[in-house]
Amino acid sequence: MGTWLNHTGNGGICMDRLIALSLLLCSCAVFVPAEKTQSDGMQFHYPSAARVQLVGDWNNWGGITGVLGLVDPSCGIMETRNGVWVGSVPDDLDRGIYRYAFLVNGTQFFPDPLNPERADFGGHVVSVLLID
Amino acid sequence: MTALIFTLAVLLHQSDSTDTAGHELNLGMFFYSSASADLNEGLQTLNTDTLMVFPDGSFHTDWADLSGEVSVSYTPDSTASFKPVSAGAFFRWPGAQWIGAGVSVGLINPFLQGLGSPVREWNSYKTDDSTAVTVEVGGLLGFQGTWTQFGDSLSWYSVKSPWLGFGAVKWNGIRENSEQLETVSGFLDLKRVQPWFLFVKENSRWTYSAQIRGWKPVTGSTLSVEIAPLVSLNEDSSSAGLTAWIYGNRRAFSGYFTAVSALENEPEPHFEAGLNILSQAGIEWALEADLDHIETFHGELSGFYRMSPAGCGGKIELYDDSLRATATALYSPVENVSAEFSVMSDLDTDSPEPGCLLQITGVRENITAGVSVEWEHGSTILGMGVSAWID
Repeated sequence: MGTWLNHTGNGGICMDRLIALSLLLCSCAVFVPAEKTQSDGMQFHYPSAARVQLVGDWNNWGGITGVLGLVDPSCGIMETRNGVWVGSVPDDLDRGIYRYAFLVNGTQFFPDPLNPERADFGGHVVSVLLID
Repeated sequence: MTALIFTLAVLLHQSDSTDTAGHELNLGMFFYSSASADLNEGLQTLNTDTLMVFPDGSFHTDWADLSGEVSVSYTPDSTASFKPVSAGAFFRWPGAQWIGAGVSVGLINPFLQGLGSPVREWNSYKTDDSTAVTVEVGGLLGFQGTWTQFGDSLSWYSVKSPWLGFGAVKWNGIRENSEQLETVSGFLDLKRVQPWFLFVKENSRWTYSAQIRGWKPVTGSTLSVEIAPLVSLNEDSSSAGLTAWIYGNRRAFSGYFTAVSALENEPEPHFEAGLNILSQAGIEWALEADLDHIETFHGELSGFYRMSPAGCGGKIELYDDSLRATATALYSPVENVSAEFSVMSDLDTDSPEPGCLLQITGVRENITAGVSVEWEHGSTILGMGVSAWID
């Protein structure tokens, strides 16, 4: 290794380029956005979650004893497909503006990372869905 | 407690669901229990906080919807209480779906949508113990109206139009004693853009808000940018601003930028920006920042690798001069079992006091169980919970 670093010829330049290329490739994979998974519904990438629910204004945020009360674990259950959780909103929603979020393991609210429109719900940052 | 859980799980599977022509009967039950202990005082402090069972049933026909749910809860001193959670009976005129009336308890809660954040949030009114009487009418030119009276002091009403060919409009109102809140909201479809409007009248004082949606000056194969100007006017103060939303069309990223300012001598601007990326390496990056006119700054940067079976991540939050960091490790040994361990600490103090949180969640069909241990400021709290249901 010392020989490589002390070498001032073309080999050293190659090493520099190799390191630069490695860093570039690494940073690409780390920072370059992945391709979107094609799906009609909502999707959320969380392979290590035990359960993800799609909750929002249309289903009382899953509250079995009212909004922000005890959450019904059967409400808005999403299916997992290779680590991507997939769910859908009801077809018969009235036109309007709705807030929603992904509830992971019944404890943590996450906004939709693929939807940049944000709002607040009970102190949590959630997403906004517009139906026109 | 384990024996009780499995006994209840067996009982749950004895529930019934019937679907015959024109009639549908559903019976179900939901069970929830939680317990906690202060581990500094020893495991003998483990005590049941909540033990609740919610049997429910509903019956639907073409002309009637009947439903009911009660809760049976046991408090730590072993006294049982029985209470209706929700109950309702709604009848429609046969053949005319939009003429109906019903009574309910705990089924309806007033809520008013806004442009993004609501005008009136859920649970703003206490209606749990109030019997609600609801009347629905409709059909006249496609308009639909609903009026619900809770007790003798709170009423919630709305009238919404059908699709008019160029837009739709909805009138909503809540009256509680002498206080009245009314909104007129809707949108126009002008093909290239859709102006959404919201007029709010609160105790004779109007606020007029409008936002232009659908204007996408950039629409490419890589990304789309939507710019939405917003204006809000009332007697005392007015504001204007715009939001730009960035959508990745083929790639998993999104972003936003918002700037809002008061239309007064002192503009009091407020800025927000954010970016989310799910990278090819499976790391979810999130960057958010907001700054208001008194130069209160909040910034947040996080990166999480949430793959299975193991992952990790971290978050740094900056509130003006205070800095807080969180490191998280994730582990999922088998499908539907998730463990998460987080350590968080303020970094701007001479003697940071880190806190830890361990959460383990397991899901097996309709049964969910969770254990958590939280350690902060010298106290260690153990929490346990289990829930099960049958449709």
